[in-house]
Amino acid sequence: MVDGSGPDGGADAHKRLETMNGDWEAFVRAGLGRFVDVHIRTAFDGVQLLHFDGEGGANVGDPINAAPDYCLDPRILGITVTYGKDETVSSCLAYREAKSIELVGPEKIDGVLTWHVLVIDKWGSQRHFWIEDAQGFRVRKREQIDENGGGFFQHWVTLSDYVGNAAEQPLPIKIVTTRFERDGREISELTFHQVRGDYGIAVDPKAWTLAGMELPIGTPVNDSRVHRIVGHWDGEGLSPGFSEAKRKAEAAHWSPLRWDMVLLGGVVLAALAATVMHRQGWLRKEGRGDVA
Amino acid sequence: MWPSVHLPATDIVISTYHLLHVVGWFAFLLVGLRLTLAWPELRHHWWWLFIGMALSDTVGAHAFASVIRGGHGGGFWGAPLLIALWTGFYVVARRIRAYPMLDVFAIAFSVSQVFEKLACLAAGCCFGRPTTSVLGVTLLASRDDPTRRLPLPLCESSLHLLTAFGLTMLYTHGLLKGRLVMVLGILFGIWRAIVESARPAPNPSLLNGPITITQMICVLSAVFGATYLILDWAETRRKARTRPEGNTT
Repeated sequence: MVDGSGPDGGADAHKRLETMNGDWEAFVRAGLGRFVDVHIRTAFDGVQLLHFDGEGGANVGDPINAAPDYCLDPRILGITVTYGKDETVSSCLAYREAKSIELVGPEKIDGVLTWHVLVIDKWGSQRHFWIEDAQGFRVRKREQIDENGGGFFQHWVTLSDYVGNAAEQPLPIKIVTTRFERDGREISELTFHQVRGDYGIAVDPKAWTLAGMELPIGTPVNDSRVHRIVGHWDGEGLSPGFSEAKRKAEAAHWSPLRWDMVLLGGVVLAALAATVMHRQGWLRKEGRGDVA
Repeated sequence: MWPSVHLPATDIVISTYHLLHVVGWFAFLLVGLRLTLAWPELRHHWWWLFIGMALSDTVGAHAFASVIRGGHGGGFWGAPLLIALWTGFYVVARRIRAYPMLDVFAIAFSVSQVFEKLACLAAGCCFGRPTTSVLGVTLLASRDDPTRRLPLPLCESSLHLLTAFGLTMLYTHGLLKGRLVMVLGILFGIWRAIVESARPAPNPSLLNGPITITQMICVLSAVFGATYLILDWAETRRKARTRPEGNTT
């Protein structure tokens, strides 16, 4: 992140970054900026796109014009280079309307037996897939070469790391996509890490709504379809203003009982009940016959 | 589909978890009858506790879970709570002496729960959070679900076995006579509260706090038992101090 708090709004730092050929690591090492973690939340229910980058406001948009950073079906991780909301497993594998599909042969990737399949898609692009020879058929490596006679050239190689078997971990835990020039020089590298994956669990339908975005109370929500702020998040819905949202959230969470007070009260009552029971002698240790 | 057992020489197929539940009840009955052999006048009470155990474990547990979870069935911890309430009510109302009746109850209850929690394992309930660690197991009751989860029922079954062993040791050595049910309340309360932290969501929390309702009940159980034992200990010390010196009678 470039520090834009100075009198020039960070313009000088941006110029320095340009002189460094966009080398962010050198820029940060020089003390001109810093890396920050950005937690981006995106949900797409097929009708509207919700997006929140952790700062400022959230946005509700239509799926055509809204362009969130990443909104993707996680099943396409490692089998594409364009992670878009419209990408599907079949569109990434590109076998539909393909000009040709060829089984090149068996190859080992990182010691794992795979089948190398070459798909020439309907646009003439070469898509190579190295697919595991086991149930689950995880894709270990992918290569894509786009080129035309007019000098257009793009070359990507994607390597995916997996752990466990396909039933436990169907998705890669690390995906590295490298883009190359025609002469083999690296242009860019993009890495995804799967930090956490829970499989086979029910997904709360709220996940696809604003309630699933975990917005801080009072966050303004913009609807880019009507170009205006439609409300402020109050924990359950939208309130017209920031203050109303705060008040409503506080009212919803207000309770005359607090969990710690209830626990403390319960502990005192349990101790009191034990004392009364002991004093009354309800649990006589021994006696004659079957009664105390 | 739950695992099932084909009863030998019959056409009857019974769910493993049903069978284990019944084994648990009869373990309760048999341990109780065996440990009360020396007190024939107490043995008829044991049948009433057995009936209470079976009812708590079936209709009682489901009714309790329905109330707590708003209509959703399931075992939950209604069975242990209801059997404890039933036994407490019975013992106090009939003024039955705590030793050996409640001591035997504590042991028999722990032994029965060893099988009851194995029944949970077979039924695919009471499981822990999904995990990718080596501890994870897939549910026996759902072979199509590859998710590995913490096998909490197995863990609880083992802890009940350890508890039963500890209580039996105290019983055979004549320690804490008439107070083993309090020891059970402390031990069960502590380890169950810890186990609960590995349950998956949703787990009803106490007023949106960091602990669940189950954990609160476990804490109260432990506090109740500990308070009772401390008062016992204090009373014993007081009596020892006030005993007149030289009194040999």
